[in-house]
Amino acid sequence: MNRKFITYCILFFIPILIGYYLIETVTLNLPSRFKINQSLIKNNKDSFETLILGSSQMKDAVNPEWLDSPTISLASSSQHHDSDFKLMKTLVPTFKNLKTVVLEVSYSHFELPHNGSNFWKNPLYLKYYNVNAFNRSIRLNDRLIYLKNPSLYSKLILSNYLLKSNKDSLNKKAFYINNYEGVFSRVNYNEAKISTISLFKINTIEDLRIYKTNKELFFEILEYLDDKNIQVIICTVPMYKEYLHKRNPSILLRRDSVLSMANKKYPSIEFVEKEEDTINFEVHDFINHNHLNPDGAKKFTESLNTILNQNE
Amino acid sequence: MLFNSFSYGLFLPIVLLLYWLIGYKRLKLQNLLLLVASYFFYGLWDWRFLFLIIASSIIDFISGIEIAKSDSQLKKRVFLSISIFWNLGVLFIFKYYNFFISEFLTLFHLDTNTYSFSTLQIILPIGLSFYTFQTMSYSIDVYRNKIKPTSNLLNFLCFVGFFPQLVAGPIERASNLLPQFNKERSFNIAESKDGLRLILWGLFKKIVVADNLAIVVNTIYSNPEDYGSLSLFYASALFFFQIYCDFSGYSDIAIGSARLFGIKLSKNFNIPYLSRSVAEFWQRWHITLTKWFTDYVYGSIIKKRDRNYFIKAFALFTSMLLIGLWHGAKWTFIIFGVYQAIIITFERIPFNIKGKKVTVSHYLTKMPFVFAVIYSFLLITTSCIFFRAETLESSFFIIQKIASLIPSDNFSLLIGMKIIVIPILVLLEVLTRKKNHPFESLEKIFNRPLRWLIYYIFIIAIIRYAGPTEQFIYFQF
Repeated sequence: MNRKFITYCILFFIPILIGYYLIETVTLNLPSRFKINQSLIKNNKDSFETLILGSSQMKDAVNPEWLDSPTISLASSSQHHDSDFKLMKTLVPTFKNLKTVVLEVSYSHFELPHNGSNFWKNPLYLKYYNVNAFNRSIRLNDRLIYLKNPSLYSKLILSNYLLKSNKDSLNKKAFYINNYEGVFSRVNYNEAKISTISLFKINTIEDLRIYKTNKELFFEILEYLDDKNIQVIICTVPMYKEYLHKRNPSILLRRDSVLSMANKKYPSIEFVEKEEDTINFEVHDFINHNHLNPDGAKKFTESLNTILNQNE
Repeated sequence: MLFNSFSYGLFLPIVLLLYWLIGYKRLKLQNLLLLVASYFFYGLWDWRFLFLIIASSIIDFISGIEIAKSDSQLKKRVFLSISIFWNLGVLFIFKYYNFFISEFLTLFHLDTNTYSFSTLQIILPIGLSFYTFQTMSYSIDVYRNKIKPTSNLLNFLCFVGFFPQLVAGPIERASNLLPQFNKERSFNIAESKDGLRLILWGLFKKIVVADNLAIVVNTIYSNPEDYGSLSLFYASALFFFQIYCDFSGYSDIAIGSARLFGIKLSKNFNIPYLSRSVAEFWQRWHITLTKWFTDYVYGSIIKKRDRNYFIKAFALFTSMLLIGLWHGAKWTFIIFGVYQAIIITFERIPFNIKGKKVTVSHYLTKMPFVFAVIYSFLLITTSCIFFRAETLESSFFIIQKIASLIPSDNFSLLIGMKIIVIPILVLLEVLTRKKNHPFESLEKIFNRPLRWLIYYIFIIAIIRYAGPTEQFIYFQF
């Protein structure tokens, strides 16, 4: 191969490597729940009594600071049961004082595919929690954070460092305390206007193959926690009424039947079922159709706290 | 291993460095390295199917030699049949068996448990349709005395398994690719630079254009009932650009990668959205596949008969039906092929005007360019609905909804900044339409710093828009 060609290739690619290294460094310095949780795990892992898992609905619904027992919430956006289980398997044995695991089972949890080995958060689990969620040995690029979701990280870098427009504020337990901004606040919580919003994310497609896989894993999780003698609390998080109307009844029926089976098999399981609680959770408690804001989170966390205290 | 993956970014330079370190004077060793690298590349997906590639290669290698050696026509035909039966048999079992069995059972209302026919639990080996067609054409060409068979097994294995084109083409002919493995290849700086530029352009098309359009297309096609006519048509038009950038992006990376090894692969796309007719579209889209069917199916049917309009139409229908079926064992692909055949047949209907025999195609070439392009784009976009929709019912539902002109309340939500990539792509390709790719002439226009700046901008766009690694659409075929 021509020496001149190699030299120019090296000269060409060096700025790209340096540039990427800088972006990766900036990304790692972004404020993040993962970073806070990492330090919580490092300093307090022997004191946690409750572990909260689940997706963004759960992340926004529970503020661990308002719970009486020492709690860590590892719930995170788009996090499915397979990721939950991987986190559990690595972290639960290290939490010496753990008594309770709180799981989320949303309306469509059993008919949405698992995150799998290509989930963009897997490098974050590896970096901050030392959890290998890839289902395989670690590769070189598994440690690159920015490259797994450049669109999101670019927006975050822009809003945090260049526009300085990010007003998100995390408390010591990694909960967003001013998380009010959303579709509902943009229309001033006007219910008439909200009812005209037809596009929001809801899964209505039935998939019995996914259902079977997800159900099996769910029972595997319950079995694992039962073996470890850990109390399980299953939560269904409040949803706004328009969302409730759009649910597919067959998916809902199958979800409820799984919960009923779980209850029969493991009678010690506690439930916090708030999905259809449209009396206590009003429009002002929501960011959008399926996420609570901190006001809603306060109500939900109180309900969870009551159950946790009963188990003490 | 995907071309748009981190692994390929490591694999390619390592293989390339070893390849040129070996040097062009040790041709056997260079070919051996290419073969090992190609099998490694394929084996990372599923090593078990390497045996299938090797078996196909060896059967066609032996068939080729035996066909050439045989004195009698009968013997030649026997060996050609062995090659064709093997290739089509493998293709049938892995790709079509389940489809035909399930359709047969449905047709006669049979129960899979009662009868011995049942579907198989098998996965489709990636790239199967590409390499079986490539090896099959070798045997046919030897039979037709178009090429002489090779007696070098290593070179033949390289011809079938060469990693840049193994899994999604271009479908190469032995007459073009095989001789390149027989002769010494020296490092050419200009070719290598152009190869790198082509890879960059291919990655841009795949990652920045195709994968971004996929987000809108997938959203609309996953719930077509929620969208109005305009949104559905918009999604179908975007899908045309998505699949074009996805597949032509793959071809560009394949051609560019091969060029780094001193090997030239055939051009597979030629700005298909500039076609004046559907017939012209197929001369610009997946060129190597169209040429394959033209030579071995269409040509074979019309060769021995009177070349009247009806025979040609029959040959065209057969070819297009098979092209549709080549894409997959689904009714949507069959209808896709038939639809294209109907349009092309219509374009070729001869009629008399003032004693002169003319066709619609003739009028399309006389028509103002913009109108002709719009005509073919609309028809191709409609065919894309069959290509993209999961089921035939869903395709007809979408077409029906588009035709009923239902207002699209949420249309404005679907138009994001990302759509701007289409005009950028079209502008770059149209302005450089006489070149092989838009970066080709940069060297003559700009000095090095400016050229590098342009490349950096494209690289930044690729990194910025790189999402979870999306598989290339044509891998499934």
